[in-house]
Amino acid sequence: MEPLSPLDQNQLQATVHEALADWTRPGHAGVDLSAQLLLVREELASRLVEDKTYTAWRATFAVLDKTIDQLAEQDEVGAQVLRLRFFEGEITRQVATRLHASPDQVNRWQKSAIANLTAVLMDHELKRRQEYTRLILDGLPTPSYSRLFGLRSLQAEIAEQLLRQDEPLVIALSGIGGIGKTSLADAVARLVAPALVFEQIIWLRAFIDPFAREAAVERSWAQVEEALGQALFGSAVAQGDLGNRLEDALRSSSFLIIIDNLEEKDQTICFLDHVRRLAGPSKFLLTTRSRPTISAPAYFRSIAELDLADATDLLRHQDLATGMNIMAELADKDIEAIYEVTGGNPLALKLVAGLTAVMSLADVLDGLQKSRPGPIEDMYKRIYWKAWQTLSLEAQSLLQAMPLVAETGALPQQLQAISGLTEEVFWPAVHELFARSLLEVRGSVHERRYSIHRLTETFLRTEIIHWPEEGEYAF
Amino acid sequence: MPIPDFHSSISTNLAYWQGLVDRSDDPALPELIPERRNIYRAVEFGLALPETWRSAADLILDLHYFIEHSGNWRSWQILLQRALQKCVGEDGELRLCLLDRSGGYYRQDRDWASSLAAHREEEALARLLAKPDGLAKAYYNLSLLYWRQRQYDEAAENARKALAGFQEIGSAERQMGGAYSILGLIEYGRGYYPDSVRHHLRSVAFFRKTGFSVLLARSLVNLALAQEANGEIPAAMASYEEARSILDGTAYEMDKTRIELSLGSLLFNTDRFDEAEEAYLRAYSPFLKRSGLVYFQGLATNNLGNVYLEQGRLIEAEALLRESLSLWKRANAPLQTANTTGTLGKVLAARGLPEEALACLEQAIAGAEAFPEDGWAKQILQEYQDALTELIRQISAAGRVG
Repeated sequence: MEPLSPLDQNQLQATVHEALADWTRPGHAGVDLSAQLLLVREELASRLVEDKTYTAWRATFAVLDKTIDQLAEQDEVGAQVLRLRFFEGEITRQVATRLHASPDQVNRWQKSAIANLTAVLMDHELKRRQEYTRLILDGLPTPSYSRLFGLRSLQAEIAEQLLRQDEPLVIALSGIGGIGKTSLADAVARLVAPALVFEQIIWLRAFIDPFAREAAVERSWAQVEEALGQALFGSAVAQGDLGNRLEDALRSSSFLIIIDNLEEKDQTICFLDHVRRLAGPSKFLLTTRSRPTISAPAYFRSIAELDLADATDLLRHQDLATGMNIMAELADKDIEAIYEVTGGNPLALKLVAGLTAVMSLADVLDGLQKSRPGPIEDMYKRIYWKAWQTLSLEAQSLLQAMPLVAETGALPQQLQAISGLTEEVFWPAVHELFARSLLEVRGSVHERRYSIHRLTETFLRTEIIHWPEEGEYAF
Repeated sequence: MPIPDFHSSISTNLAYWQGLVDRSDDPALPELIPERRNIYRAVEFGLALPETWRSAADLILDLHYFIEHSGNWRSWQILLQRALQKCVGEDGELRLCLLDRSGGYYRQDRDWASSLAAHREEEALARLLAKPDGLAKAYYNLSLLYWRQRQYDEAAENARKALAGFQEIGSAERQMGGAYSILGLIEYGRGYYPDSVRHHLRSVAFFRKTGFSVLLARSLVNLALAQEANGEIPAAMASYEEARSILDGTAYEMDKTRIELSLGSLLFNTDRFDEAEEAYLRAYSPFLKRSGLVYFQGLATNNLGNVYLEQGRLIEAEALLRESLSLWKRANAPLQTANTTGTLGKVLAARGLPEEALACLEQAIAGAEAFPEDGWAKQILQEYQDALTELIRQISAAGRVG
């Protein structure tokens, strides 16, 4: 589907006039407003279900016809003039006689009616575009970030690539854990939604199931495929039928499918193979920690670490959001030292800043410097250990139970049950973990859900609860 | 090994979800839909520990209507298989229940071979454990499986064994209602409509006592279909009305769709085409279009196509019937394909396209002939043979005139 052009009242008025005039003009194919109006696209799509011969020209006429009905409620004479002139094909003089007016008067009525008709049409179109955009955005999980740092130009670039009608059909955002891939994918989706190029945006999250002993990568794809089927078709798709149905659906309409959280190289290669088969006109946006090969069938964009200015902005923002008030105490050289250690990795910056609430900066940085340069996992392991050791027992109890919570987040009741904390100590523990950037808060003021970052979960599984181990399957 | 606190969290987590399941009024647990992934994760962790896997398996069994409603059989089948791997030795009764569910989900997925294997093992295990209720349940499952494949002799044999078993042990109304229901469906499939009505009436009587509204509504729809086929039109209308009123205001959209489709057919068969169109359009709702219920989508489009044929709206009829054919292909439903192809033949004949119509009717007849045991297949075979004869007569007459 082509992007809808931005609405311009003068241009639309001229096209509306042309469309009306064309209706009774013999030998003309008719004016098609489907490039400008969502209302026409929807009319066309709904009628095509019953009548395969229905055309965009007829849909344009149907929309104008309905809008003239609505115009009649505020400008009865104008609506009548438009009907007589353009639907009945009467010339100005005939209309003038019928309405007991002069031809000049009829011309004035007609001009004003076309302007009013365009205004009514614009109003409906804008409302419908807003409704549709809201509907599309409803499919996205509530974001766990409140502002994007250092990624604005990349966001615009990826959005532009997605809105192109041709390649790239598959885009992959790659980068180390905690660099902001998920946030960027979410921000891109929110940027492209209002263009209404995509009928629907579907957000899926991939997992390597730690319980799967074999074919874990293929199972990870099977779960995503099933979730995609659920999102597209509702419920109940028989197993053998799913692949073909997905192909039919994604190839006949334009969807944006976002698959977040690919971790391993093999998994990324497997997913790329599958999504290439399903892409076009639907597009895929993947986030992955690995970049398989240069020749991988996707448009890869790496996410770089933040520069010092963006890192400072992020720290200030986080300081306000958590109410920690530590930035006032930090001099520029202190921020530079944090930046030096974390390398501009957003999650690491937030975790280190959280640590300074309970440790002196020197103690925080001690040991972390030794891990740079080195694998990013080593740095995270050290940061997480420091964080863990400085948490209260209650916060540890809660955090330790968090691997039981799915990526969609849990309600406080479940968290309280699995942590075994009483009401009095539960909420302080939640606050403590949130302030230390160890707990992500989602949802709205009406319902809050809590989850943890994938890296936090990895740390808990491997370092704290040691789960799963081979022996556990053997009983 | 995981530290002990985490084991305790796994156990508490299972208890938390089990508590919510136990406290819910609606067995489909609509309020837990947003928690789908958390529940799945709870079971996944629970199945991994020796001290919690039984609780996890029990939770899977109690989530049956939740799983059925969500259509996530495939994901849950993975966990059922994991539970079955653990469930050996002294856990025979639990294994029986797990096999019952596993076979059922395979059946929902139209994986007949895996379903048969699960229910055969269920039957053998029930025998070994000397569990007459488990044995009757296994026969019931096997009868459903054969009925779904239109193998009515095997279905009837197992249904009779199931009924005898349930009667012998004095089973609850729900099991008895289920056994009579499947007997009624089999007789309907064979074209023995008075017997079908008799069985469905008994099924309805049992389900009335259970207080399980959706099962009663389903049973009433089956009764209505049999009553209609048996020429009891007012009684059939009354059964549909009662089923509709029972489901009114509930979230059982799939069952509501089924009622509208069946009611539409009754109206169609009594030449009330405008009312039939309204019922089918109610059935072909946004819910149905969005859903993966390909079989019902196929029915809705086929039936609407039939209405439009009767109303002379041939272009619309052709478009819908072609849509229906593509849906039947996906649903792997050969007899329905034959039926729709025959109707398409009639539409094409009415549109003055005799060659294409001829090909469709011949294809439909060949398709129906593949089901010699089936009552409905016999009906449509006769119908399309008559249509073919008439078309050939018209073509010959036109040839003579020409």
